[in-house]
Amino acid sequence: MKVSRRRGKSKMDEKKTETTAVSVLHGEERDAMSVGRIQVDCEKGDTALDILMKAKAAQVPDLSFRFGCRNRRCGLCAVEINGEARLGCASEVQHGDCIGPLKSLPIVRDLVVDRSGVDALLAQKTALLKVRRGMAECSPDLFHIELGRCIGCLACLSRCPLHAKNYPLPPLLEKEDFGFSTSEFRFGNPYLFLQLYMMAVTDEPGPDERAKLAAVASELGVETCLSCGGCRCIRGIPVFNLVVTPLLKSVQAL
Amino acid sequence: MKVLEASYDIVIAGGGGAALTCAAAATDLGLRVLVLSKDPLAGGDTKISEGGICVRGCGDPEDTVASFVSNLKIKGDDLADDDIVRAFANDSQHAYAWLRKEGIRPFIRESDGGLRTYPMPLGGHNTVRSIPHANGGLAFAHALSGSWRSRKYDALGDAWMLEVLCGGPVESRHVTGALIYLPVKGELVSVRASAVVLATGGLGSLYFPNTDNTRSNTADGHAMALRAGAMLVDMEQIQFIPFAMARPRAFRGIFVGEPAAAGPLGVLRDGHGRILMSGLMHRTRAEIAAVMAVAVRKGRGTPSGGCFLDLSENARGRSGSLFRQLYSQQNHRCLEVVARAQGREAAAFKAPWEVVPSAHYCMGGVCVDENGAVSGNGALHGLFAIGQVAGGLHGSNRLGSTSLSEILVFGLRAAAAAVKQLDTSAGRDLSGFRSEADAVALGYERMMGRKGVVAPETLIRRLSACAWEKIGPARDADGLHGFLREISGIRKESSLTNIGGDPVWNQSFMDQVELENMLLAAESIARSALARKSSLGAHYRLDSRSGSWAFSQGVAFSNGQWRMSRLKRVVSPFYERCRDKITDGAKRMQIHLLRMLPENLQDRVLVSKYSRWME
Repeated sequence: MKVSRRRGKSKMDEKKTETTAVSVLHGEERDAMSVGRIQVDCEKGDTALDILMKAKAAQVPDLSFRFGCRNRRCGLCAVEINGEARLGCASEVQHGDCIGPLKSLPIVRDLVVDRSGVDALLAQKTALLKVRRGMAECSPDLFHIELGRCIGCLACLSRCPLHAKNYPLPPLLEKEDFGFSTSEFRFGNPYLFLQLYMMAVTDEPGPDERAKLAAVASELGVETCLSCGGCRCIRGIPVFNLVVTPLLKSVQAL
Repeated sequence: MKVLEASYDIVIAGGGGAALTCAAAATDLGLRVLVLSKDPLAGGDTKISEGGICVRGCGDPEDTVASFVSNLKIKGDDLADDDIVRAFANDSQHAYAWLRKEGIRPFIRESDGGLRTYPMPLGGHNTVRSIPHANGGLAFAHALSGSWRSRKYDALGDAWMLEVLCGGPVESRHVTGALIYLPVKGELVSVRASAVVLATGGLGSLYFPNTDNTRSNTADGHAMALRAGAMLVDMEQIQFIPFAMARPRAFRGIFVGEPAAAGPLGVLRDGHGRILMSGLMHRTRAEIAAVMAVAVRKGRGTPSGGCFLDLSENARGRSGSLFRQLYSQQNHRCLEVVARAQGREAAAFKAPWEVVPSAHYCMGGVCVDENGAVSGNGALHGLFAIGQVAGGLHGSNRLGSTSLSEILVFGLRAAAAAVKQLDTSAGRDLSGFRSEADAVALGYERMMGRKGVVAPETLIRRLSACAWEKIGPARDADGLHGFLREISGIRKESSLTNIGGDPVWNQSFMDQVELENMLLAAESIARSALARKSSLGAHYRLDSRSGSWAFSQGVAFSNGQWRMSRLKRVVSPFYERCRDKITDGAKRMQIHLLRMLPENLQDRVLVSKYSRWME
């Protein structure tokens, strides 16, 4: 087969005077932080993550953002593009787009948000459940495989009316050992329900398991989900059908 | 800087498989555990891996410990530490059983209750020995996450271990704790501990973007170990996976296939379309990566500085459609990457893939014993290194799917060893801890708010561009000496960097920490690469001379001085090495002959081969 060698610059290299905006929360003094916007040159094919890396290299050397694998697997780079939660490494941007932090969690700096509140709530509720242990005796079925696709990107919090009830946040609490303040969430979210479900539900959940899980789900406010259109997962995991609906059913059976 | 009132038995740096396995096992043994991870927990390379784990005997009843040990040692050119290899071969079954109890779910055959394995031996293995999982590495992340959340131990994401704190007289130095940065809170904190475990992964980001590692792999554990006085071994042995996307920018370094992915008839071509190498399926990653690097150096590369992987011959004839089927079964994730990066034609094998090698795994690492306890450089009690950051298991070449077993085996062993050594360290004087910790913290505190002339980020990019050229898949003495000078220059500038004053999420501070760690690691790689004058395994010298090879290159750093040493290794029996070479040679001959067959016959042979693999 013929292998053709590209002559001169490829289309990808052509400079276009198009820009994407990046929202930054910046400033030397914590109390004097302000939200600003910088404009970054945008070439065809650039992902949001490309833009952030360009901005850091050329304009804001300490621009703060998370990323990991650059290949849609780790979930670290979730940001909002024009207000919609997306994976930065997987989303091409174009002229006029705006990249900002997830607004569903407290902003630490620029595009970095604080995930500890979700972790703390999950830890609290897991402690109330008996996490299933022991070797499974059969292959995972499609249900387990589908739930197992969750990469923990937390994009699903952005459109969750239940998670939104956590705001405004109560005053920061000091956790004893580390003096480590963590925002205390009370209400659940799709990721949280999915994680609890995966940990607590065996292939055939017994009545005890169901009851405990239902109690915890109720504490997390799952009844709010009755009036919701359904969870939005960027990987397309049908969280509402696979997780929330069974939880609602077991809550109703309590 | 705050000193915590709480103290722990064991503090673990890392958040991937090795860290969480060790934490769970240590908790079950009654230790007070603290895990510190830069990124959210249950991540690291574990989460993004392909998800195949090596378990002795899972696919072949003849797969004995001796056979496995021989395979590991010989493929690693006998650079491995015998005790470590033996521990690994002995424990892989037990380790995987542990993870199954924590919730990982392999596919189980209905016919006999056995576990489904990969149909073929993975790279370098002498038999079928690896187990795939639905969702790949994500399955490990979920099981490990469950193992963490179902136990009560302290685990922090967004927590950076900066230094291992040590104390005691020179003859009996021991770990006293760790210095930590908490960016969300904006605090430097020190914590007392009897044992510190480094489970920080690899150093792929040193070669960014020519790496498929996750970003956080910035040699933190390698550097902290060096600064604590430990020795590193085999640092010149860095595994470059040959087939990663060369373009576009967003996909540079992203993995698209093992050598086996070239199929029986794939060939490597240079920028002009001339064949560089065939029979790729049975070549090692190192061999192919070196050929690619040399071609690019000689000006025969593609516009993006890579080579062309041409799979089109595989897709012809009747066998072609079976090849496509097999490929989408086994490698569909990689095909998706190719489609997105270089188009549908490429993913359909109709256009060649523009590929470049990518830093994938560091075989070298901290010198430890078979329980992950740091050894080999004087007394240093209580420091452990497990997982990719540890050296001594893989030698000059890592077999496919072994790193997922490695993290479990040594995570468990280190926990057990930490319990034992805890008894002997009871009653150690920890009262001098506060002043020691203060002294170390001062250096870091002074960095914040430093007005400088260059951003750490700029130096990191310079370092990684240079590292790719000079300590990449092909090296030579001039390049290595030049690189050492470059490192020296960058190090000087790194003391003059501009660092923000706000302690909360101080990105330039975090960049600085990673820069300094990568500088140390880069220097250890360059010095080791210079010291090993002949090519061996993953270490390819363009100016190679013949020389002895049955030793591991050790490197340590103290009082500003680098010290090189050699660790004697045990060579595998001659007849075993011969047999291995003959077997490899036979496989390559087979592929070679296959290419020479007339098309019809070739097609028939391939159809029967593929049909067997697809069962």
